[in-house]
This record gives sequence, structure tokens and C-alpha cells, in this order.
Amino acid sequence: MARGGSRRITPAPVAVLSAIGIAFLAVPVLALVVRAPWSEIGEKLAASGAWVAFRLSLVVSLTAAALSFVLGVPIAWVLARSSFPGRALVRALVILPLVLPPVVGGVALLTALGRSGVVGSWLYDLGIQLTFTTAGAVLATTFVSIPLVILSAEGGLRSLDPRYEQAAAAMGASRMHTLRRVTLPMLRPQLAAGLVLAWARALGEFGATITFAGNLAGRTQTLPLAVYEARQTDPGAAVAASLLLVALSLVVLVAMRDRIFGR
Amino acid sequence: MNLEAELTLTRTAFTVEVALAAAEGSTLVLLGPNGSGKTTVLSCLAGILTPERGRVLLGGEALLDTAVGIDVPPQRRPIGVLFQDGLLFPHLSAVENAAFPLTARGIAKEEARARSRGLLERLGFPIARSTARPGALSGGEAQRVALARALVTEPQLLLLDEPTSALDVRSRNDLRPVIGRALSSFPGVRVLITHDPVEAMTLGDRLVVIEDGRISQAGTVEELRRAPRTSYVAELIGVNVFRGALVADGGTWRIETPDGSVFVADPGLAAGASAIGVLPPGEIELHLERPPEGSAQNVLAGTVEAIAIDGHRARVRVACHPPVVAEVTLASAERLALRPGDELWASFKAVGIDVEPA
Repeated sequence: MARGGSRRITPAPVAVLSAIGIAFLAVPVLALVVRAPWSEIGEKLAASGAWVAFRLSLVVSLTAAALSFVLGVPIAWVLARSSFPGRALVRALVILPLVLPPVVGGVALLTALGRSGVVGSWLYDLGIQLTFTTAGAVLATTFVSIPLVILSAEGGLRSLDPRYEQAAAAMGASRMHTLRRVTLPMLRPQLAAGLVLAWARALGEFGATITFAGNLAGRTQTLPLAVYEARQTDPGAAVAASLLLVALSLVVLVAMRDRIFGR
Repeated sequence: MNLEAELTLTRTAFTVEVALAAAEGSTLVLLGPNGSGKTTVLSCLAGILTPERGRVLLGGEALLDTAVGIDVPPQRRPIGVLFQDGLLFPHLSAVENAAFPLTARGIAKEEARARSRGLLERLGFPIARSTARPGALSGGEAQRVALARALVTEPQLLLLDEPTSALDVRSRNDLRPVIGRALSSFPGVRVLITHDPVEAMTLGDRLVVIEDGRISQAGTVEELRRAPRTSYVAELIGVNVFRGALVADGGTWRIETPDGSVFVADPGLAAGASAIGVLPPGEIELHLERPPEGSAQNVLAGTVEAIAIDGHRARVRVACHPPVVAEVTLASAERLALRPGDELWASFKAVGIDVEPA
């Protein structure tokens, strides 16, 4: 009853279960805070290469999010607006990385784009190698992030009243003008949500990256990979690096909360 | 710059098959029940829908001719459209919405805004609100923006789809004269969809009634009123229309028609202005003898000219000054034993008459 207005009563089972659930989610994060090696956190982060991994994580996740957006929105458009034989199959295929274990995605990428892969062997002959490179880390991350952009944008396109675009045409707007000035601006909430979710997914990516791009410090070792490696040698450093990820994720989630969840 | 159109297209519920013609500088009103195909016709004129067969000629030039495969896309037709529900872009401000057809045609933002701001002002839009988004505008303000957006390119064909239907009574009455002025100063062909008889009569030169995809009747207001061919037309247009000058006389108001006058409630207009009074036929009571003094200010003596039976209703045409049509239940008509030539009195209240500037 903090705010005036209608009286809302939470049923007891809901209150109890939600309290258990919140505790389940919050305790591990709080444990990180409690057990963090606060006195020597600077040295731990530096020694474990966490700062380098942090910067690489930012570069890889932001590039992957942008790439997911640039490729995912047109895919969503085609799925929502055109009909062609096998559309259901195509939709299943492009959403598949969302349900697939990321390590399987990594193996699949390796089979396709690895040095001796189906496409990769050609690329290698042209002098292009993707495995064990930052570009490879970006590709692996994009692979798992795209479905989130597609799902969000396709939902937005389907719920958009087509009469707005018809109106724009009747007012003299070309298809391109309508797309840029009407369709995309009206889809902004869904596009922003898709972008943020894709970025969040990219930031946490582990399995596909380590499988396809490897775990090379400064080139493919993103922060999650650094945490995993530090855990085997120095658990304190792993906690410190984990806290870095928690902090970054929380900052973005709080900053974008209105855009993702509505008000 | 006349408009000629013939359209045939199949919708899920019925087939739309209409032929329309409108002269330059005239307003063609499309009337009809909801779902009768009016908006479909308008969409074909705008180029948003392509009919199976059809032709749309504007000033002799084909916008559509399915026989020879011409279908000019909407963005290249010289049209201005006010869509049902306004359909303003929610992410653009009022002035950006009004300027949209200009910026879409590549006119620089500043010039486009200046032009639409001037137009908005002429349409009575409060210019201080021009940066507000549609969600923050009142219904009347939003429709002024929608009207400006339809007019701003100075098109040759203006299409208005129920410009006032989403408004409450007061804003509708405010907007109607604005639309009237905009229409009469618009040089090209105007096509207006409405299901408001007052709007149809005050704004239209020619009325086309569409029912179930087909034209059930077309003509001037007078023609439709005199001989409604379907019960829908009878109910909608079969109203009494008193056209003439407003006279104020010691606190009472009258409309002086060429054939007698009727008392009306204070219309909020200047005396001497020409006005149209609209009275639904169901508002009129019929009496065999002069009714005792009551609240009805209008008591007219006359004779029965004709009786038309429509289901359980009877429409009685009374020759009085001015002549009126009354609608009574069939039972009442039988009880009064009305026959053509019978003398009787018609009475109706002044407040029952809806008065609009003509």
C-alpha cells in the first residue's frame, strides 16, 4: 500500500514462492560480493588478465550485437512480410541457435568454417582464417545472438498496423522512405529490446566461442573464458572477474529497463 | 479535372461493384452502413488496393486501368488522404505529421514545416501544440493535423474517410465547419465517406449510397430525400431538411424557408446567416385535430400527401408549409386511419431540429 489507489493483495503462496525464488537468484550474486578478495582485487584482476578480457568482451559483444541487428532485422522482415515455400523451416533454422547448446553451435561452426571445414577450407585457400581469431569470436557470438533480434523484430513487425505503411505510401513516400521514417521508428521499442537482449547474450557467450575460436588471451579470451580459466588456478581471481561481469550487466539492465520491459 | 471510376473487387463477405463520377470542385459523399465497402472504394481510389477489374480516371488520365495494366502506385497519385481514425504517425510531432507528405517528396524539412505550420494555423490548430505527439492531442486537434496532412501537397483528388466519426459531439460540431471551409476552398475533386447524415447533407454536392458493395442509390440530397429507395436511405437521408435564413425574433429563432418557417432552438449562429435544419421524421407527431397548447413550438396544418409502408413503420408525407415527412408506427397509422388527402396536424419541438451553418 505504498502508493495511493487500488488496494492490491498478494496471495500468500505467491508471496512465499516469490521470496524463495528471489533468494535463489540473489544469494549467489551476493556470495560473489561477500567472498570477493576486496583487499587485493586490483592485483587479482590484473594478474588474471581480466582487464584485457574485459576490453575484448566489450569489443566482441558490441560487434556481435551490431552484426546480429544488421542481419537479424532483415531476416525478421522476410519471415514476417513475405511468404515462400519452406518459410516455417527457415524460421526454425534461424531460431535454432537459441535452443541449441552453444558448444554444439561451436562444433557446427567449426565444421563449416574451420580450417578444414566445408566452407572454411575455401576461405583458407583465399588466406582467410576465422578460427582462433577475434573475428571468429565475433562470428561465434553472433551465431547465438541473432535469434533474439529476429524474435523481437518479427513480433514487432507482425503487430504493426499495416495501415500506417499504406498511409505513408498514399502520402507519396517511397518504400525506402516509409521504411526509414515510419516502419523502423515505430518498431523502436522492439528493436531496442532485441538489440539489448542480443548484446546481453553475446556478453555471456562461452561455449560456441571457446569451441570455435579457442581461448587465446588478448584475441579470443573474452571475460567468461577468463573467469573459467582463472577458476582452475586462482579462485579469488575468478570471483573478482565474475564481479566485473555482474557489475557491467547490472549497469546496462538498469539503464535500459524501461526500453526492455516497458514502464 | 473530373473523376471517373469503375471498380469491381471481391471481398470475403461480398463483391464491391461501383461506378462513380464527380466533377471538379464538387464533393461526392459515399454513404453506407459499416462494412458496406466504402473504405474499400476509397482504398482503390488511393491505390492502396487494386481491384480485379476497374478504371480510375482523373482529368482524363488513367490512375488505374486493369484492361491495359495501368496501376499507378499510391505514392505517385496526386491525392491527399485523411484516413479513418486519423492514422497519425505516433512517433512524429503534429507538425512533422502534417509535413510528412512534403518531406516524403523530398522537400527540405524547414520549408515543409513552415508550409504545414501555416496550413495548421488556418485550420484552427493551436500552433503552440505543434511539437506535441499525436498521443497528447485532443480528438479535434488530431483530426485537424490529419486534415492538414491530406491538404498540404495541394493534391488534385482529396479523399476523406469519416473525418469526424471518432469525435464526441462537441468537437464534431467544431470540426464540421472547418472541414466545410477546407472542402469548399479545395479546387479539385473531393470524395468524403461518412455515415453522418448531417455531414453528408451539409458537405456533399452528390450522394452515393453503398450497401453490400453496390450502389443502392445516388443523387442530390433532395433527390434521395424525396424518394429513398432502400430503408437505409430512408432512415438516413429521409430526414426533414429546412434550408433558409435564420431569423431572431424576441428570444425565439426561426429558419425561414421559401415555403414557410420553423422554430428552432438558439443555434449559436448570427441572425441572417443561412442555415440548414435537420429533423428526423420520428420526431414529428401527427394529430387528426389541432393539438392542445404544449411544448412543441411547431404546429403545422396540412394534408396527407402519401404514405409509404416500410416494415412496421409508415412514412407519411404531409403537405404543409414547409412540407415534412413523419415516421410513425404502422399501428399508429392504422389507428389514425390515414389516407392521402386527409387533413391533419404535424407537431415537433424546436430542439429536435439540428441546425448547422449552410
